[in-house]
Amino acid sequence: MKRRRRRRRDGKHPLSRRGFLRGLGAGAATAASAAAATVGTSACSTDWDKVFQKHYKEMTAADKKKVFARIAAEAKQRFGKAVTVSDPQPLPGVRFAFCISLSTCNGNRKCVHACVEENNQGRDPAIQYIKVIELDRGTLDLERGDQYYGGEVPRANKVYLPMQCNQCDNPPCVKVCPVEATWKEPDGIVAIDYDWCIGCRYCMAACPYEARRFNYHQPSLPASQLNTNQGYLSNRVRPRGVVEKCHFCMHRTRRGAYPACLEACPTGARKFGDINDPDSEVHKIVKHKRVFVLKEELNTVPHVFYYFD
Amino acid sequence: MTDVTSRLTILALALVAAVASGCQRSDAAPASASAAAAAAARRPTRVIRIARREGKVREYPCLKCHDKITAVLQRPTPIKRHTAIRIKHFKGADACYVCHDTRAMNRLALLSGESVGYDASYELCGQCHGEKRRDFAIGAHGKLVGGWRGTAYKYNCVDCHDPHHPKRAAVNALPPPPFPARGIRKSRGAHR
Repeated sequence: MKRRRRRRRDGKHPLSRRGFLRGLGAGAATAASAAAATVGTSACSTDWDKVFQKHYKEMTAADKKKVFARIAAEAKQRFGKAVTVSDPQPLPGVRFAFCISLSTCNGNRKCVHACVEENNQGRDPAIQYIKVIELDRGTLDLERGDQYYGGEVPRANKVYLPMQCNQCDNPPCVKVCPVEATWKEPDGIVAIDYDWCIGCRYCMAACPYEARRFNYHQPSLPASQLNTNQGYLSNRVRPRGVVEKCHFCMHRTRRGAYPACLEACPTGARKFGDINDPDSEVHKIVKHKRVFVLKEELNTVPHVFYYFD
Repeated sequence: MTDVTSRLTILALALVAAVASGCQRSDAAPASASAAAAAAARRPTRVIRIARREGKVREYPCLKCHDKITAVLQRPTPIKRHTAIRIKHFKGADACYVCHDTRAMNRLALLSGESVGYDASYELCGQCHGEKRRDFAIGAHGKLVGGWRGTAYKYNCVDCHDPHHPKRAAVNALPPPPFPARGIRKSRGAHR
């Protein structure tokens, strides 16, 4: 059922945990590293299939179709609504990035609520991917920020900083996942397989941006508010006990659309695009403006850039 | 460990390549020049159009009255009909004809005397707000709609800012996330 994670393919981590287990499955714990290095050889793969049976393999198009049908049937049963599930593939050569203008953002939280509606998050307890942090003007000390502000915005001498998943190039959350249910896609998005996640929440502890959310309960979601345009790795309804986070609206952006938060933003503070494309606005902003990222010193290489215009 | 070895490999390969291609160095310059020419000639992957403004002025279609009423060149301009307009802009903007064109009432006049249509009103704003005009040109300021690929539309300055009162009004924020049941509120003394 599962997607084989991509890290092993590029051979950067010859002895991963799963590779080690695979070695055990082949009955040769001492030759574990050798077995992991020869992924896909005939002797190894037969034992692999015997031990793991149908539980861990790359999904074919037919497999996906079956899984999408199952998800749609579950949604039909629970919400009484027909949903379309898809899995748009990353576009070649594209690397998504966000740029957020802090002088334009007025902290109205339209993005937060548009995201909740788009991505079928649980309403009670509320799960929100975006935190808007109210900071004193002249400081960017996140510890002194307040994310529970209300009333009229913008307030005098305050700056509003929306924080969400930074889709790091060196993501600590991916490194700590013991079952590799989260990985980095070629277009830079850190994806989660909601069926493979065991809910250990290591990734939540590892993420320096507090981007990940855990479903302590079955997400409560009124049928009238269900978004029926669903992506397999993005906004399909999550089960209880899994971690979720911002995925740059994968089901929209991989088809050329803007993410929901950007479309909802009444101020135009959010800019989104392909940073590899020299004509895109994010490329030009990073090139011409003075941008910064959060917690740069951690070497996570985030792809959400902030600037003042 | 693997990172270090792969970097070393790349370094070694680069060295070998540099030595091998040493005698062909002179060919490199024309090749890069043609690449630059090709880059200049390539079609832009991203087209951004500025949202149209002309024909959208519904409250006061200018020429409905101003084909007969001529300009009042008086400072400050007495406003009799345009009662909805409240001016809170820079101090010099107390007369309509600082920005509006006296010769063609449905157009705007730049400081140079050049007349521009409402579609290009960002040129008028950019005369003073040069920094914002630059950001507008690269896409750092101004909302874009349509999608990140292909053609997108950019809002004009006056789509978001009332030109007579450009500062945007305060809005009510949507509700904050629920405070954790066992959370501890930051008190003024503790974290400030």
